Amino acid sequence: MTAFPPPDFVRTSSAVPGIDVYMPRPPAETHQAVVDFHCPQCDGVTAYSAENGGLTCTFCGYYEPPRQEVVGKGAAAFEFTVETMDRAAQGWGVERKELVCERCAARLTLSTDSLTTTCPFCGSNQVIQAKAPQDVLRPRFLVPFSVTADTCREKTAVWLTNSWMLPSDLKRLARTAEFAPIYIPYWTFDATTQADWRAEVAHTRQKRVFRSGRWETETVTEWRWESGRAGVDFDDLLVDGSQHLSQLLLHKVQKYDLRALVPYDASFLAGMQAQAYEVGLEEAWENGRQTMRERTKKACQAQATSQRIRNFSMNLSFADENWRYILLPLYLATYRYNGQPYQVMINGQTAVIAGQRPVAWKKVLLAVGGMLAPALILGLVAFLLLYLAVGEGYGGLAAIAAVVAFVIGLVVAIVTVSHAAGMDNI
Amino acid sequence: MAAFLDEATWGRPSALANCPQCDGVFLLPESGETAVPCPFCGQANLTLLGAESVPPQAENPPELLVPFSANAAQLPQTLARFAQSTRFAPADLTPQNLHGRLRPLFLPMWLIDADAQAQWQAEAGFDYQVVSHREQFHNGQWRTQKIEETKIRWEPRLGTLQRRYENETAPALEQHAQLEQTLGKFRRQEAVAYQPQALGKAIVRLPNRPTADAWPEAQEAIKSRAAEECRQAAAADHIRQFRWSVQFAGQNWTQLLLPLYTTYYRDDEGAVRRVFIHGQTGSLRGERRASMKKARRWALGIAVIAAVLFVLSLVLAAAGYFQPDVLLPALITFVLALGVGITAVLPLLLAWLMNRQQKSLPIT
Repeated sequence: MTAFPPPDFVRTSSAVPGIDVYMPRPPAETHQAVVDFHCPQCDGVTAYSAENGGLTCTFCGYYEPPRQEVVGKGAAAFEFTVETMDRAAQGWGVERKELVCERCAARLTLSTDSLTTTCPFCGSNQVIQAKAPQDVLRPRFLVPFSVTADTCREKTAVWLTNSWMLPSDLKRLARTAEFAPIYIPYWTFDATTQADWRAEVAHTRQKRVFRSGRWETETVTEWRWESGRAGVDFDDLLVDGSQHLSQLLLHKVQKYDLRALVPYDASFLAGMQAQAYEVGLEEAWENGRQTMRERTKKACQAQATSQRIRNFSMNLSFADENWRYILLPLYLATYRYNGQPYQVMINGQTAVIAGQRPVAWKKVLLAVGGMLAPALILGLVAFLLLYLAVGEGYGGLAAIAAVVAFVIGLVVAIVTVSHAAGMDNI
Repeated sequence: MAAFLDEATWGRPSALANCPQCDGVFLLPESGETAVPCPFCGQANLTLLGAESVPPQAENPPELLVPFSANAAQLPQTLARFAQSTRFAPADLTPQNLHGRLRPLFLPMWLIDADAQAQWQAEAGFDYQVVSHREQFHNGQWRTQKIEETKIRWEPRLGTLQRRYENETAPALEQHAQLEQTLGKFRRQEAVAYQPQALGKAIVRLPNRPTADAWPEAQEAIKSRAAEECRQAAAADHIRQFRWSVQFAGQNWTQLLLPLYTTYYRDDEGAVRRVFIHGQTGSLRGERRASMKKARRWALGIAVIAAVLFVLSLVLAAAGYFQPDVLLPALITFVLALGVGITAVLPLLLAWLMNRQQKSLPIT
């Protein structure tokens, strides 16, 4: 005989006398406003280590393995319930939080979008777990850091020297740059789109016409109505939840492998910076939907029998929409060169790097000069040969070669300059 | 000595009779009628039971009764429509006969009260709203429409139950399911407490199904009601996969009476054909039998006309020997005779088809 009720069920209210109702025990409230990390052996400060994926003590070497298993793409996703959308619209409420350091009792003030802090007085790492407007709106999953700051420095050193357009003294800056590990808020969206489309599609054919006493071939365009249905499955479309980072740089590094997702645990954030979302669920979903509908539009247009179309219209519906709020690892570094700040971002999972680099414009101008020099020399030679009327026609050839060299030099110079401009203009 | 129930038992003095054909037992109002055809199967006259054979289901009066609520003024028209829409109707199938033989009859259902003590488990469904979108691209612009959809979240629930269930119904006649399938469901929620005067001159059919046979269905009915109550208890919008481990006690069996009108007519062979009218909705179901005798008479009449035309065409043909102008009318008359002759088979065919297609009422 099994025990009744089972141990994982609790009694709940009943609206009918004579009937008792039991429901599954709700998950225990484990909310802890601030989690302080210190070593159980030496009471020193512990922090998450990207090198071995657990908590380590910088003083005694104590190691604590990660507490969460990888769930990957199986991480729970949530629906767009009316309740969630209403709560998400409320935002985080207060603008700044007051925090008392658990170790030295110092009073700290930090912005509401910060999820972690390090006490400036005692150096302890603290993770702030602010109550979200709804439980699902707190970060539930994250991809832990697997790239160390040392790897970032090496990567940056290579990156800062892999182009002749860069100043030659940049490499030493890579050694001095401070790489700040930060968890960036992201929304992931799943959905299936289904669209019915209709458009006029151009079909061309050749026609022979007799005009002005002779036969000519004429191309005739016929527009025919076509229609169809297309759908796209979107799986974990990433939408950035931060407003303060360069979107251009972020897009270059944000290719994450979400198969490494783990359930949120404060220990992954120890010693790191972490940001709560600034772009709310509704706004992020609006951005995600824009991406989805444009891709679906392309899928529809790809079904047309010709690439020339007009009067395109489509009706699109979304199904199976789900979302997740996750944290993704990123290193941020800023270095100064000639008094100017330059930003670098490194993917904390894949070490993909992107950023701004100063350009040695003198080198570039010299190179441009070198590119145009052959044309100048050939031009001079052509001028002399033609002016002095010597060389029996070599002057003309030299002039043609000068023009060709000029065009080639100009094209290469333009490409070089625009490439250089793109390096520090992000 | 015949079996009678005095006024103290059902509040109306009644005689007990049974049908030797279908074995149904009936309570007849004391009217002095001697030859009452069985209102149920119609195959034989009811015979009064001996005093010693009062069945136990007659010993207690019913608890509830669903009164006749079909519009009585409409019944003659309903019967007339039935009679008139029957092709080659037998001589006995007239609106007057049907109406004259119309009898109110009450059919029994078991009513069960029981205490249930159970442990139950189920999946409780809670409605929730999700936001979705539809987008339209037209003239180079997107138009977004926000829509809300209702979904169900299923969660396990279990519990205990200690309730008394009253007036759950279970069929008391073997033919109950067929009857409701043929005539339509009875609105049991219109049942009122039994009053003897509500019986009037109606015949009452007594159960032919023992309570032991009806108990599994009664349990199912109680289980359905319990599932609904558990849904309410859990404040859920839906419930599914309801299972329980139950013990019943304090069972009490009574009866509920359902209203039905019955009448009949006799076909060519003198066999009784039944016609039932739902006592609440007034819907009629009856066996339509065409009279082959009448169809044959029609066929014969048409054949005679055809023969006359044929003879006439022969006479005209003979006359055409002398006067060629009448050959054409002779031919036309011949063709006409042929056509009419062929139609003579139609009445027989139609009557035969009707009798072949009509099924007996499945209530026997």
